[in-house]
Amino acid sequence: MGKYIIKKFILLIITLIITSFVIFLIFELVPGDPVMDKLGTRATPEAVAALREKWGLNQPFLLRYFKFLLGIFTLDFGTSYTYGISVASLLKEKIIINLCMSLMALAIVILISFPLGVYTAKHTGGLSDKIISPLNQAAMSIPSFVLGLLITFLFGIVLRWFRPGGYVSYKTDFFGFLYYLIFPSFALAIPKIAMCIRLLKGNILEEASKDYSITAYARGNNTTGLLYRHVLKNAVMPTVTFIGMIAADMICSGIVIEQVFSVPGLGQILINSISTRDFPVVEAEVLMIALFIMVISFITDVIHVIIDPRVRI
Amino acid sequence: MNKIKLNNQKKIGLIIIAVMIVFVLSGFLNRNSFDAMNKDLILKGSSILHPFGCDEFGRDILKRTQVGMGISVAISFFSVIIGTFFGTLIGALCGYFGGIVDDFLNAIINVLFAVPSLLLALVFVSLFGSGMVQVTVALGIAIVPSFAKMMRSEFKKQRELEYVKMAKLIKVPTARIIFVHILPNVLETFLNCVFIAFNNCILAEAGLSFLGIGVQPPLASLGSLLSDAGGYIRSAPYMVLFPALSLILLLFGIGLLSSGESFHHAYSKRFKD
Repeated sequence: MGKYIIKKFILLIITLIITSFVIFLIFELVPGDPVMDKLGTRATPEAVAALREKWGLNQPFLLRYFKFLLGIFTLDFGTSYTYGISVASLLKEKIIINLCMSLMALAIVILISFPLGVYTAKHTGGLSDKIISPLNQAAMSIPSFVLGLLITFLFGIVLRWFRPGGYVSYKTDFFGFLYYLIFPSFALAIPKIAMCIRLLKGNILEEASKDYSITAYARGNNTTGLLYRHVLKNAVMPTVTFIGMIAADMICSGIVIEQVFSVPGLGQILINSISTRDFPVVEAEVLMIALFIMVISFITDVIHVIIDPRVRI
Repeated sequence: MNKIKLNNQKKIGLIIIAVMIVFVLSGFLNRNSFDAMNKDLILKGSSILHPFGCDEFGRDILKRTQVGMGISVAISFFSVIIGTFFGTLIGALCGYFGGIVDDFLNAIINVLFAVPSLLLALVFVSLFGSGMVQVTVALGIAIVPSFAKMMRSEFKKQRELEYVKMAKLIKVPTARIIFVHILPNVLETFLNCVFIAFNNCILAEAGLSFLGIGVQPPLASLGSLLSDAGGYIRSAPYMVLFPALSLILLLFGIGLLSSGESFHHAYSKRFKD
């Protein structure tokens, strides 16, 4: 098991290096010079040279890349072109916000979809199944930002459970911050819950028709025992992979959801720095998100090993 | 193709899609202009002339929804064509030939696959500016990795089958084996991929336009309509309601069409006949 995890970890590092290189290369090949963008056409050559020196743009490509790569470990991604402060301090607060939102949404997905998925699989064809399945299909086809708008309207304006746009920073009021984030988290979670329920139900039904399940029946298990002791462990595996993918997707859907609920998170700063061509911030942020996704897939692999010993081989 | 039998889900999906197409096409009969502003109609609710109401500039929301949906669908359609073409090509070549090129391309695909398509599209737009063409190309590129991954594994499977080996034996040209012999056999996966990609493209396009990066005003797309409406959700909730409903209905239709495995059944039935 340790060996497998180490192998995966080395793979993670290699992927990280490739990804960071690709990201860095792409932004290197972009047409246009950020220095000229900043100073305008009437800049004196001295000013241009000074700014180049300050931003470290006259160092060779590989050296700058290694600095960027080291930045992942030292959390130093250089200085933002527009704001003039270090990228790390700019992103630190935003990452906490997005991490909280994604984790909350993930927790909601797991807490709701697992029990419901198992329940609908156990009662396939019953009344609950007939109600939940069409609801699922509908929930899957609602984009999360539309859901965000609908939630804002229903809970923010009609029911007044929260004040739309009334985001509280976690520094001033931590519980108020968490409470406000519940609503965007639900907007993120609901479509994923539907997908998860469907997947889990499908997997349970598939596993239940396999030979080992029939054997377990023959040995005198009842449906409940079969479900919890034999089928569930096998059926959960693809769902774990899927939840890993969801976590990756949530950071991205979060970018859009933030705009709906006017949460000042990663998305807002990403859009801003894209429109002002503030590349150090964009690079660092894209790399952060990619890193997050890779770590999630690493964790998924580890969970796989723990649940299913066959993977270790 | 008339052998493909549709189950009820797909029938409902087709009906919804047909209704949406009629809805978009009937935009040509709608005499209201999508960008004519009228200060008497600002934020007016539904009326006979303007069944969906009017927006903050007094523009007819029905017409804007029709135009917007047309644009959204057109962007997604072309991105799917771009993505499908390159995805299938890369996947087919990787899967069929294998070797070092396959290992190399596969590594890149895996890296790109890890990055969500919305983020890829965002990066692309940040490099080349925003606009309709850029978004189309960006979304097209963004769906290449997932498509290539699927097609690669399918081609790898097919490569080992008897009929491909036979075709090689009688010296059928490689291009013909790939596109005439193998491709029809992976049609089922291919079609499902296309529908899912189309669904994702509509979603991503709406997301990008919602962020103000996609279609630029005065043109509309479903995303930008919703983003404009978001600011008036307190005073004019109908502005959100109608575009949102049409977007949901469109996605619902595509979702029904792409879900289930009736294509699979239709094809496996073909062998029994």
